[in-house]
Amino acid sequence: MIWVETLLNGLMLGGLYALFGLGLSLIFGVMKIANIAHGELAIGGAFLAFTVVGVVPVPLVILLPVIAVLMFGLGYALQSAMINRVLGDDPIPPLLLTFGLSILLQNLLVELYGANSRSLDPGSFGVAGIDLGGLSVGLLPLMTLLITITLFVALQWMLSRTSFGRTIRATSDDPEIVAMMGVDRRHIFALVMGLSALLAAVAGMLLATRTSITPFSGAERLLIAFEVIVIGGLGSIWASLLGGLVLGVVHAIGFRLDPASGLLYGHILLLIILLVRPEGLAGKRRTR
Amino acid sequence: MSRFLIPLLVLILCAMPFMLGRGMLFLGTEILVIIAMAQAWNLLAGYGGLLSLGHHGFIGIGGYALFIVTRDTGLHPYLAIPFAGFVSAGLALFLAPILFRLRDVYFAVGLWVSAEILRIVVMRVDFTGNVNGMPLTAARNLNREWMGTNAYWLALALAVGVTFVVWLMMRSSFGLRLQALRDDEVAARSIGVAPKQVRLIVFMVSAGFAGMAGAVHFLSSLFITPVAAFDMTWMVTLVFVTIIGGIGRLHGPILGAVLYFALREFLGFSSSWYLFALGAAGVLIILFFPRGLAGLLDTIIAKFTKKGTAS
Amino acid sequence: MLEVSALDAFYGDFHALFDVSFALNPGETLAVVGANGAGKSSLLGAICGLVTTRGEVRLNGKNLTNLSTPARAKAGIALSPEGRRMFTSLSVRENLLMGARVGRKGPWDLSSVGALFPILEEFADRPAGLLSGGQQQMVAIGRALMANPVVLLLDEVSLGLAPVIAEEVHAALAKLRGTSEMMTLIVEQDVRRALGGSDHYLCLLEGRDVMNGLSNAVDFDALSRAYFGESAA
Repeated sequence: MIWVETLLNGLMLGGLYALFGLGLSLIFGVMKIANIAHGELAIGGAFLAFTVVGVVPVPLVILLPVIAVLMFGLGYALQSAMINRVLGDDPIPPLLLTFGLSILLQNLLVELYGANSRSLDPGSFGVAGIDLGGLSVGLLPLMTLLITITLFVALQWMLSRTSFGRTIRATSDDPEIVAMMGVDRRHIFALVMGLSALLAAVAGMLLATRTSITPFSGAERLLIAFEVIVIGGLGSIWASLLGGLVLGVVHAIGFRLDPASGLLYGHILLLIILLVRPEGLAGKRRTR
Repeated sequence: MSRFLIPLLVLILCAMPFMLGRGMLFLGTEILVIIAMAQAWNLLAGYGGLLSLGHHGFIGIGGYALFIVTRDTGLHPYLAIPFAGFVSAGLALFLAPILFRLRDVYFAVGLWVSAEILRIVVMRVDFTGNVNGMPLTAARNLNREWMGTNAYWLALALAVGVTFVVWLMMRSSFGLRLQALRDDEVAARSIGVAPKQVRLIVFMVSAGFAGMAGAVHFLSSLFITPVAAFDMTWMVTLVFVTIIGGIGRLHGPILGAVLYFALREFLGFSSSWYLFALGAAGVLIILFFPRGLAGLLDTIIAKFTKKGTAS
Repeated sequence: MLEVSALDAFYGDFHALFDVSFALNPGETLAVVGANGAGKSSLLGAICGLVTTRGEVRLNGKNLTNLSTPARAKAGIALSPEGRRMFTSLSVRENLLMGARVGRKGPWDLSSVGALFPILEEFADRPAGLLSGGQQQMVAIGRALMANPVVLLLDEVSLGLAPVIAEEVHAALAKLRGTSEMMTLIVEQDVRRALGGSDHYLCLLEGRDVMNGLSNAVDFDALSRAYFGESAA
């Protein structure tokens, strides 16, 4: 029974991981770059939430979308003011630029909030649980999983059914030719970065409801997000979901067997996947 | 002119211990260690086009290799420095088959994850002193009076040596092949450059130098802990020192390191404001002066000599 | 009316097109011929704003020279690019809908493009990346038509296609001629076919206009010499 519970916990944790990976996978798919500051955007969203709650104590249901929209704006601004300027054939400048942003944001958070750990108070259901045939499942992780799945379905719907989603996929296929369709790819890139920041921030806030975070938690989140997209593979958002769930289960089992392991087993899984299946469990063949 | 200037400069740097106080000497050692590390990183990223975000792994392993080998075999710490380089290069050799399937961001973050694995393992294993770290037991064989001075000279030798080796490599046909590979892999292959072999060599050399620099650093501090050895701050410093100075240029890391430490000493910021400023400076340089201080210097020299860019 | 005057094009340091000028009236077709690397695609790219240019491009009196590529597309320039450049992960229908994204009104929509190329209607839900070369060419042309363009630019229409498929594509293009005010530039390897389907021709050699005139009054010997760069003696 304890293993069923471990598995279940792993899956719920994995849902959150998948959400961290989703935003990174999205920008990688469209722009072929990664955002090293992805973790800081996630953690930054949570810290922004701390500030808002400190001023006006609003419930989580309102807080979550408000911060998400703000972070969308920040992502859009970062892309259009900075990252778009260094996009080109050479992948190194955007990588270094986002690395710089990550260091800048991390230390800004340290200065503004201190290095102490904090968490978001999820309210009464933070401790509530339901009993599923002898298994006790926390209401909060269940909520997290529900939000995650909702976001995945919504994103999939947007990408496959809407004109905006079609334009995103077309831009990913051939960013030069979309210009002949009247599309300014820089605008699309900025919207996608906004979306990625939004997803990261929601994941960051959900994380902060279940565990305490510090300004230094961003780097860890980046590595998790990265591992999710390598394990799952690129090419579809379901690959991110699979990658997240697998990583979550591996962490849960690792934690059960060896409580001091931290992220170790996830890291090792990453190297194994790179060695035996570099395109990921569900990924399409990578072009590079 | 530089034929006389450079040896003179090195000679002056050699004589520094007789002119500077203990504190300044320690700072000098720190600067020289960072120059050596940044040269190693620049070799891989700037000349080789292989961006690493995991060089702190090589630095940490180099430091630990020195502490462990001197503890267990009685090898003299100064002689253990090259050994530390070999251990780090060996680690690179081991990681290459996994990481060389990757490009760009995958390679960079894959290396970062490898460094994380090392940190976690070293923290948990008693052989390496686990989370408590370990003192340099062999320090009792060293002359206390000269320890600081010797560390400075070792760092100087390493910084000059690494710079010289990178210079030699880039003048050789190997350097041409490496840069051809960075600029256009398809074209480089078509003229017979073997990508794997060239990249493996440069990866191992870069890792080896980083390991030696890590060994010198922890030799001078006499104590090593996993947190200090595998600190991401190493990586941040190397990257931004190189970017600020000028990535892919031989004098880039040197200019960057000097400016970096000058600012740190003068501004006296708290460490997080300092890192914030470093990140911001890096972002601004990438956006507006992608060739860094070295590029700026070229422009100025070109203006005065009206003869195009130097070197 | 499309007026191109003293147009130069550059790829970085490489000067690909020198001082090309021509004018095209509504409803007319211009065939651009020339050997490989003569600058044909550069000319189309310069009209779209995909490459760096010097000189002037005017469409119905409006100066397009300083407009971005998306703005030119909205002004009515559409391109069926060399190599077809499918959005491979999009279905055929989605590729066509991308063409309509510029939002210009006119006769072309999914059903009229489907009538021109019936196979596209049949394969509407297939990923465009899985189609044959000929079918992809039809998607590329259909996608450009979906923009309801004032100027249609067709690059390398039959490159790499089986003769019978090329025939089919050209038959469809022949239906377009003279039916509307749309102006067409066609780049085609097969010179006779290009001339047969156009009103004017322009022959490029090493980026320069070496010969031009009316397609139905061409001297093939002179054109052949111009094409290969032999002096007209």
